[in-house]
Amino acid sequence: MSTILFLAEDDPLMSRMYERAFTKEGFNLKMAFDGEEAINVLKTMDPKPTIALLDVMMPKKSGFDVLREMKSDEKLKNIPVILLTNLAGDKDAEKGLELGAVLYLVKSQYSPKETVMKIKEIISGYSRKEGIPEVEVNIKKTE
Amino acid sequence: MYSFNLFSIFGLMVPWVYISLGIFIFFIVYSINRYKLLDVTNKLIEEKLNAEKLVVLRTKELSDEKARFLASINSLSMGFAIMDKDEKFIINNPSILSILNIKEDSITLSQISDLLSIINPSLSERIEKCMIDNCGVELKDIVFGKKYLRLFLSPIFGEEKDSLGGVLLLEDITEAKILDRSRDEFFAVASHELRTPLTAIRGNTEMILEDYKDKIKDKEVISMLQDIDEASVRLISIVNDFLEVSRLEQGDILFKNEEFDIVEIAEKIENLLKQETKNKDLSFEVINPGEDFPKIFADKAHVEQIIFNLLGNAIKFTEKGTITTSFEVINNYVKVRVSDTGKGISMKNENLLFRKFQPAGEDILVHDVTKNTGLGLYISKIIIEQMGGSIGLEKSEEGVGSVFFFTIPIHS
Repeated sequence: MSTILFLAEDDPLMSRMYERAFTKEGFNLKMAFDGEEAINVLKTMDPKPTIALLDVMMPKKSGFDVLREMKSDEKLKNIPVILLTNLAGDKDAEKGLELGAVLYLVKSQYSPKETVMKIKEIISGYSRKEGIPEVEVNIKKTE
Repeated sequence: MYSFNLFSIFGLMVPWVYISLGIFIFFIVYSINRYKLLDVTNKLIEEKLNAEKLVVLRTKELSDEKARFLASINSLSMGFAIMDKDEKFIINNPSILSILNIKEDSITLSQISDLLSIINPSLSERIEKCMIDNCGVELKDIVFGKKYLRLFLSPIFGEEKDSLGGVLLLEDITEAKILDRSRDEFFAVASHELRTPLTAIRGNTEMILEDYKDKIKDKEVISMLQDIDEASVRLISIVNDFLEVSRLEQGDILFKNEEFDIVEIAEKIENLLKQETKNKDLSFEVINPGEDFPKIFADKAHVEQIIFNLLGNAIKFTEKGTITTSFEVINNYVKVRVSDTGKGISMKNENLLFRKFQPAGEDILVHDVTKNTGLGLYISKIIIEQMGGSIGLEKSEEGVGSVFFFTIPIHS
């Protein structure tokens, strides 16, 4: 059975791109297009996804709001959450991690393939029970 | 017999002649002296009158000068005040009162210090230090209610280097600050909004090139797609630089404090960059200072970024030769030097190097847009300064090479 992935992303440009990248790699992708829909889909999904990817800036409810609600829901709180965003402020990343996200990923820093690789690494880390992966800080290239 | 004695007559006459002559001479001398005295007196009176005229003239000049001076300082939008050596203000313009929202005229330096919450050290303590160091106090971005102020305080010295008081300038920079902030916010929002479509262009192009390359028959189409990919990568890096500058300037970047080996980091980056410079005749050297070299407590990722930037610049401007990285401990700082054998920069341009949009040593019109945004050194400067260090050009000679350095506190 393929891995079930949940993606909440309001921008069709982004959601289509990630849809292509993840389905190509054999993931079973379930999607939502705003924060409110995200929490509803997550609550009704059965089985629950292996991992959830949330955009931060979304209509109705932000990714942070969705994450907060997930953490207070018994059935959702154990799903590892990755925040996928183009907000690159350290304070945003810190907030996301404090709320319980396992990774804060800046979209523009990774190609879709690299993003898929990262998600795969995290899933395999979880299946090997190696604990919560740490946020990787890349060397920022400024010229 | 009565005898006529001529000598007796003469004898009788002589004293009278003498007396008359004496009186005559006396009058002559007296008259001359009197005349002279009169002349001197007249001259004195004349000089006195001239002096008085001059005093009147100078007094008028001085009072005109004072009027001009007072009119000038009163018309200044900047707050201006002069204080005596007891730090009491003897002259101040209305602006300083309106900036500080006060009405009274007799203000003191300590009052201003309290009003602006400038404590430990207070303004008095700061100016005392200035008396020794012969410098001025400059405080930027003082928050006063809803206002932002800039203050400049300078001591006035007498001829024997004794204190005569000081001059205080106070500027309301709120409007400039608001403009600055809205510009920065615009910058951040625009950059963020630009990144999403750019990510889609880059992501989709890369997926086409990786997954569908075999299906594209025409090589020209592949070449065009590669150009789109390269363009999007470059644009993303420019936008990222803009965004980073805006965040750094707004203080939106958090600095971690972790222990790391700076030499190890330099070696890692050097290895990474070596791969990218195979088409150049370059050798790299990281001079290892030995096992006793101290570990650093600072933000590792940001230190990596600075080394990456300095090494990247050295590579960019060196076609042939060696790029050397060395380390030294100076007091409580580690100094890292990156030297190259590249084209070098004129030392007179040193200050320009670390400004915004100033590509290293290049004229803005001839700079190579494919290589940089001119923000790298500026970003490095803000980062290192926020970590308590410094960055600069140690020496450079055109055609010989450059030595850039940065210092970082061992425990920042």
